[in-house]
Amino acid sequence: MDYRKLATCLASVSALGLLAACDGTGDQVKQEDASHSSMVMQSDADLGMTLPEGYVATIYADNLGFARHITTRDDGAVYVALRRAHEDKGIVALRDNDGDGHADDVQYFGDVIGTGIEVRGDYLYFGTDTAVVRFKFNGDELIPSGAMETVVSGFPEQRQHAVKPFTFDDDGNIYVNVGADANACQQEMRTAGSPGMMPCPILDVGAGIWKFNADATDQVFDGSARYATGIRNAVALDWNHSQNALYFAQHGRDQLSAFWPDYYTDEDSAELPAEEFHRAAQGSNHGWPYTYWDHKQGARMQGPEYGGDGKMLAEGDFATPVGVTGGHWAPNDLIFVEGDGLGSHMKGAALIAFHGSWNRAPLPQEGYKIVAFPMNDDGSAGEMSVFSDGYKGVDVLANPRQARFRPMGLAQARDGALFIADSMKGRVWRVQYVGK
Amino acid sequence: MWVNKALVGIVLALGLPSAAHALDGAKLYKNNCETCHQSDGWGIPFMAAPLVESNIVDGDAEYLAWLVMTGTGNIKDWQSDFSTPMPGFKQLSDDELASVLSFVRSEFGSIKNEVSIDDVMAARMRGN
Repeated sequence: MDYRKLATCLASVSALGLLAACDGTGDQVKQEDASHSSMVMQSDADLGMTLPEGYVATIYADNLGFARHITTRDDGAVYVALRRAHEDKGIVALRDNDGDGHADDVQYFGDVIGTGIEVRGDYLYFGTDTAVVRFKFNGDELIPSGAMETVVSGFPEQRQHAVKPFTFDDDGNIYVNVGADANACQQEMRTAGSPGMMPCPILDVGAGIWKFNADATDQVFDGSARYATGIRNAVALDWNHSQNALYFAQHGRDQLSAFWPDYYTDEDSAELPAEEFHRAAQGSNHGWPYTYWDHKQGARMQGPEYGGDGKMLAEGDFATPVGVTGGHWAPNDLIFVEGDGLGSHMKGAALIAFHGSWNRAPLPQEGYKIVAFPMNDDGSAGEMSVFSDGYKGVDVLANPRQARFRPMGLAQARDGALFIADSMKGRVWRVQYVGK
Repeated sequence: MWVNKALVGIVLALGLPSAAHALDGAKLYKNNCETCHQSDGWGIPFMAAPLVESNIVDGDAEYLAWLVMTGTGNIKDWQSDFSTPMPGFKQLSDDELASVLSFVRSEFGSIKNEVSIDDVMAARMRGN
């Protein structure tokens, strides 16, 4: 797709004050009244997502497989983690050699599958479900030729929330999410009326973020070196270099009304609990499984497995989120925008990719979008806005399987461009700011 | 009275739908299964198994009843492509299990045969 033509189309759309769709040739293909929206968005049926005015996108790659997180290297190469191997390989490398916005070099490599992936120095780090490994680049090669090294192994094998995404600080440390192998630490797994285990033993080896030396190899997870706890599953985590602090967004617990119908209606359960966006610190406790955040009441509540009734406030020293969204949106990646490449108004903002819900019935499924939180100097977050939408491809979605796309991974390239990975078809978009 | 008893005996002997299937299988499905397996029975990608095109749903009725009663989360070394283990539903009565599983087969299975109370009772006898 020629994004200059697309930009031309969008400029005309903007002048009309309409929501519109532009195809890859720059032709406007449909319009509808956008008076209900304060943000003029561009849409493209072929593109499969929408962006605010001033942004254009190309389909950088497509049909890669079940994509997870994505990362970029300073030389422009892009790497995508896969959940399922493609011809026995679980990483795909992409490079756009002719600069047309589409990867013309696509190569699969790596005898691993997983979610976490990030370039750090001369290494490509990768998170399988039970280990973090890395591959060394020699020079500008697209595929790292160094043998696979194990950074940390020994993470528990688990059925639920098994992925091991990670991030790095500026002092040589890596922070790894170890999700909870449970919904709410019930005595009987996902069973109506079953009380929670007290204390919850899962917290000893999961439901937290652990800190390791990013430069050392052959470290073994043993439950020590925990950085933060009470985190059900933080697939979305990133180090904020301006704040010198770790942030994450958590998947909240499921099925309040199914297990506790005396306290919650199905509508309550669709909206609760909030998905929580947190700033973590050494030793911080974020409340799982004993509590959850109710964004309607603006308060931390006692979980029903631990005596709560939907009205009982939680007691204890638990962190307060810096931002929240509606329930079950499934935050699956977080980045902080660096530089002015996505527009000066976006500098420093948190972008969170929401993979989309599966358990909001009887309400329509939600999420399936990328939102932005401006970040304040004191480390708090401002008001959330939608940055990119339209992935689900239908107005009302009943089942995540019917979604056209699900935003899964985010990365920002050195030139400022934003890369977005989709988990349904393995589409990767390259988003560029062209100004208003 | 003896006529009713005789009819029940004939129904059981023939394996025809019994009074159990007068229970609302759709409602039982909604309350116990739908969140994970979804209203269309297709499950959730990578998370919850589909009931459509399922060898288990279409397979042996007693095994189907045993699996749902036991829960995949309670079966050691259960191998699955889906991350969320199924809890056991042994707390449901034989009637309820027969009704909901018959609904599942009717709605999502390629084999529409009902799951009988006898199937469920035999499964419960198997234990863990």
